[in-house]
Amino acid sequence: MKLKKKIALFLTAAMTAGLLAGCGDTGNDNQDSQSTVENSGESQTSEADNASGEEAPAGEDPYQVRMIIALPAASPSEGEVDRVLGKLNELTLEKLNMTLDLQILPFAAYMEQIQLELSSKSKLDIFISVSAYGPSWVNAGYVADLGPLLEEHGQDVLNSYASPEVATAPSLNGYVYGVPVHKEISQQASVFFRTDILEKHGLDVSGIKTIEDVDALYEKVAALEPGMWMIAPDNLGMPELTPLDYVGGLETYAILDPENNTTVENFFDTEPFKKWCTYIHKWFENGWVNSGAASDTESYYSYIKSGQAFSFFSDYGHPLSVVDQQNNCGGVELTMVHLTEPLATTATSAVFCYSIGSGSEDPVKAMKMLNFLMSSTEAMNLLNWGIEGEDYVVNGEGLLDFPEGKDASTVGYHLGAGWILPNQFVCTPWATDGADIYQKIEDYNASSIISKTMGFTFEPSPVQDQISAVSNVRSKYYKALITGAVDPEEYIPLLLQEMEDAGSAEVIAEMQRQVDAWLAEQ
Amino acid sequence: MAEGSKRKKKRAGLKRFLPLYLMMVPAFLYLLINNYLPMSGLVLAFKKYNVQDGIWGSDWAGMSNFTFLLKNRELPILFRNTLGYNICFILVNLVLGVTLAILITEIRSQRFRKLAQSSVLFPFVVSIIIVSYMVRGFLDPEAGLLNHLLQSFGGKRISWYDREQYWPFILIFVNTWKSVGYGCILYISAIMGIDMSLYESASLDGAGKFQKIRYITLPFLKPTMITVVLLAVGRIFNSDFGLFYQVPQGSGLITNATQTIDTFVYKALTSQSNIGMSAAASFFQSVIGFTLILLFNTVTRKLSKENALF
Repeated sequence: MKLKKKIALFLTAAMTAGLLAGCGDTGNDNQDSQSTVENSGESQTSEADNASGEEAPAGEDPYQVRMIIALPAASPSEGEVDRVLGKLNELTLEKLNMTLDLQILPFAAYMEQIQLELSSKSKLDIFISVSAYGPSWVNAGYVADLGPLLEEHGQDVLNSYASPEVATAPSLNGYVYGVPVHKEISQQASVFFRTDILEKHGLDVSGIKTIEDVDALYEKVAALEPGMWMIAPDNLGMPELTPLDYVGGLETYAILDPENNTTVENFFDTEPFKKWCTYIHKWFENGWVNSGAASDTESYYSYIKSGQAFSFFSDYGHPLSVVDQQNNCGGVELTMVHLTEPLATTATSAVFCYSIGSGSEDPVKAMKMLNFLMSSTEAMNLLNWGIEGEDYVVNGEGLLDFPEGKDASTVGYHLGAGWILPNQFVCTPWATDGADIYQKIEDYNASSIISKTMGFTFEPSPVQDQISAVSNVRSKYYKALITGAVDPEEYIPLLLQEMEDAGSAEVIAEMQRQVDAWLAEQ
Repeated sequence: MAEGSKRKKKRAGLKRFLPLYLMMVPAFLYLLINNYLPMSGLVLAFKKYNVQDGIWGSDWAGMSNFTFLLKNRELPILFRNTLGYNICFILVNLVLGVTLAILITEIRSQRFRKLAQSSVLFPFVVSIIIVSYMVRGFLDPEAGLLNHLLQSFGGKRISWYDREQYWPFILIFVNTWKSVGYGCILYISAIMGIDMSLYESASLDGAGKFQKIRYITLPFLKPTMITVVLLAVGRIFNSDFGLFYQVPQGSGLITNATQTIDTFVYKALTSQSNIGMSAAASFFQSVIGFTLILLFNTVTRKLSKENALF
């Protein structure tokens, strides 16, 4: 008996000790990994802080910049990213005495992951932020104010934009939370038709200018291709068939004809919204639409890819968008037709920005790194296209192409996603895009209509309760209406009534007040 | 003198139970670190949280974080759905769980009984995401099994994801299918623990099958049933997020039948990054859940003292 007890005591003690040791181990692990980070980054934080104001002396340990970006589809494996980073870090060590630690996340996980990083104030130097979240991130203290940093250490960043105002447009009451990614600044409602169907029946789409024309074409194709869906609708948003500026980025309130007008309206109470809902409901009733689209979690591109659907609408009409959309649809050839002129608003000009996290140990160095990335052709080519000779070769015209016998899927590293990288305009163009592709995009931007409230950012906190109530009402009806599942005559009034009850008028009044105050300052 | 011997006794007790206390330490530490320390985070519900100032340095917000939830006009629907569904789930799971447990323990063939046990538990371990696609397989308006059946019998297609009236039934069905097995296993093990001689002597006294269930099995199951229900009641203001968010696949028109406090909070706050408001919502749920546990326990204590938890 006594022996048994002793054994029990011994075992318990041993188990407990084991547990404590386990804790200790993980504790050490953490310390270890932390100290490695520090070693590879900067040796002593305090020292670096003291030195941060001056130019980096050569003797100092290199600072490691932690950067996270997002990609829509599969990204290269970690080994491939490390291979490219190795090359890039030779550059940054020499030029800046810094190294870059780049992490690429898929879009699906990005917003959740980045908000976790930001809300825990982890060491995050450079990351992609989404403008729609910007104001609330400023209020939550997630991001550093780039204004002063740009002035001091970001001259190349500022110079890479048409004007400093464009660079600092993503801001809230003067607090600059990011600089826009260099890409097209405007949106343009467009329809993408499957080229094979058009050619099969010898249809000409050059005359299509309005949604009425699209409707007439659907009528023809539906008769020729029974059983095919004429349109694969996106249940997240509807095309902007007239020029409009979604103020505050909530896609609920809008300024119509923003080139001349500054009155904020409830978008769901306007003619363009009703018109779209009426057309798509008609198509729905004809059986031309996926009747499950309102609750579909499948991407609408997959219906184009599988041959089930004939066309889709999109707000991207820039010179690269056919290539982009063909990639999305698994290589199906598409024909693009524009329905509106390109229009630039706060929301469209800076969908994605580059920001510096408030957890950054050295925002000045982070800005210097961003400054370097935005201006260095060598660095941007590495990030976008990989290593010369391994991932791409330079052809006779000085453009880049895949090495002999390789393509996007067999080459080790090929992002080809300039629209999410800091500055694709300094890249060497890819052969199939054409030598003048970046010039074309810049011309496209220059040709855009500019909204009168371009640069205005809505500060949502005074009406936060109403916004959350209205967004709840919106989510009830929006998908069903824009995919045609319900009759707009019956459901739009219901939506409007519930929005009114939830306090939409107060939100609009607050928006109008802020817009007017902002306009008066300009 | 008496005092001294008492103390001695106490010390002897401490010594005797020392191994047990030591064994408790890890679990206690776990509970402390994992469940009690984070409770200080509840203070966020009353803060205007800003990362740069930290949890304690942020400004106080008073009750303003609660207004978005409490002043919302949807609140009655949220309460009705959250409470209503949970009450239905508790009742259905209790009745079906006990019935299934009794039926399964009555199975003679050992092998078939094991099979029945496992197959009842299996849905419990299936991820809700997979469940939501299984449901979609039945209900999809274009390709779903139910609409195919309806059409082949000459009926009209129903767009299930747009019709509110079917959803209370669908959700209760899915929840029962998924979670009845968990309670069922608990009841089975309780039934297995009943002394067989009780049944034998009941048979000798001429009791039938139903009388044995009524007078032996059910009274022995009572403590288990009370514990299971009590635990469920404590979470009556929390809803199974996966069930209410994933299974309806975000379809808007059925929101009145499918939205609960959790899904409302998720939808209202995902785009706002307002940690204070989210904390306020869960604070509210916890306080009400705690009150309900106390209430239910008091009622149980009044009815049968030995079955109350505390």
